[in-house]
Amino acid sequence: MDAALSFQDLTKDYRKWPWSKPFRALDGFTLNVNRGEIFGFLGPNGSGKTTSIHIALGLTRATRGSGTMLGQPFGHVPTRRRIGFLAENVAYHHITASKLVKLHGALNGVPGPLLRDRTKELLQAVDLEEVTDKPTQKFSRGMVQRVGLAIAMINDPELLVLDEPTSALDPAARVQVRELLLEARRQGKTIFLSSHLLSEIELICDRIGILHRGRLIRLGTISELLEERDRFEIRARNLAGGPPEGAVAENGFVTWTVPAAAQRAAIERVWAAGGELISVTPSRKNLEQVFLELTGKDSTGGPQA
Amino acid sequence: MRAILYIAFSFFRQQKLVVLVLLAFTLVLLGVFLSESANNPAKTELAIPYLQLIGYGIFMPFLLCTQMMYLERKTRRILGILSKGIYRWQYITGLWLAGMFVSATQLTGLGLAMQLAAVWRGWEFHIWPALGAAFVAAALAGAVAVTFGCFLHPMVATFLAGGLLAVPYWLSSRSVGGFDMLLPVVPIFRTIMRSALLHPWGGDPWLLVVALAQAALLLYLASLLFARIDVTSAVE
Repeated sequence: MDAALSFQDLTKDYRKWPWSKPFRALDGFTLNVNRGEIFGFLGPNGSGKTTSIHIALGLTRATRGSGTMLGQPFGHVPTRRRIGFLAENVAYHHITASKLVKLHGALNGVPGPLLRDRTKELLQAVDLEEVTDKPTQKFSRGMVQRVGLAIAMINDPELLVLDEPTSALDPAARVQVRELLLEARRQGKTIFLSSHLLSEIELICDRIGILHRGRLIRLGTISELLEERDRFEIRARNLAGGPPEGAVAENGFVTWTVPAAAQRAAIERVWAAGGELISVTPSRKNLEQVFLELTGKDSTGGPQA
Repeated sequence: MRAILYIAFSFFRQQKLVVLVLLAFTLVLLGVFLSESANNPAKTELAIPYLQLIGYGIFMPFLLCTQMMYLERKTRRILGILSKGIYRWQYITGLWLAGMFVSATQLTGLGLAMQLAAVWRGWEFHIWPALGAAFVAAALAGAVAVTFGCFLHPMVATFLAGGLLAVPYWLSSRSVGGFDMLLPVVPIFRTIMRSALLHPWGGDPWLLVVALAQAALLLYLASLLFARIDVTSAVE
């Protein structure tokens, strides 16, 4: 089966003027997104996430490289009718929410009666059924984002491309959106999710790609990314002679990590100390740690020394 | 065709304040002339401000077309529309058509107001052919504006598009041959001014045909240009 979304050696240079020095937003970026998966697309600001999405949708042109979307080259107009897109910092014309959703559905060729039903259904799903006839200029940013999500789904797309879909949402609305996305995956849709909310990504994505300075620097499933194959976490109790150096003692359990090469020695040391070995598992980081390590930033967002 | 109309109506709705102000101005003028206090006004007194309003009917879509694209890109609303299954030429045509809706609404309102004044006061005006010619001029001016507005800042686009419309007229007025049929917005408007709505519109009908053909050609050119533009970066 072909990929739902495929970027092949994509490079994009931006120039303010034709004679000015180019800024390279994407640098030989290659990625394949499988059909039916939720793919989390991560990267710091300016890493090229939005640029790659815009190239895929034909909104901007690649300097070099190519790609396909649902088997067709980027920018193929009839294929865009099978795609739902929510832009970052989305803005719409100032009309009512229901008219707005209908307009975008109509532009994607959704026929009249179906459009009416789906508009009602989707605005209900994003919790806006009370304000369907209110003009969107009176909406909060979170409400506009929810309208955007309804717009992205109005044509029942095979592929949903969402750029920061939950950045302005409150926790309850985020849960609601998460449920919507999981339901979409159950229906066999592919979801390409670009976000800074690492916890969200960690919760729902099947695979993750991390983009940094226009290059894909890590790709894999959540467990592949978070597990450290070269370090193990050892958990034990009742150790005579006290816990080893660097261990954390909590509720009678002692936990510490060791390099893979020292794993056997550590286990023997537990037994030698008359302790009870509870578990030996590959050490696991959280996504934030992985992200910060890979993108070379400390927790304050500044470059690592 | 439906996609173009959807886009055009969507843009037209955004301009409702402009349209309402122009229509209100037309109606206020009409009210003044039809009121009892207006003691036997001459029909030229109504024709002159209405001629000015015809000028607005040409100039407003020109202005709107130079800046609409810029605003759409700046607000990022363009991303929502162009990510749908529509072609760039449909977007450009929809945008131009929105300008034409503004012009048509204003000119039709103007025509109806003058028709009413004519009936009320027993005057004779030659309204509709002149308004039709004005609409053709607006179509051409809008097409020039869209062509420049799709890749330039509105200020630069207005300056260049305005210059492009003025130069052929300036050259032909200096008896440089071959320019009187090129982008004839100014010549059409001048013939309307000359007739002053009091006499039949005396322009060459071929001028209108040529103007429409040039508008279509420019829209095609604008579509070609716009198809090569990155819409995600704002024009500054």
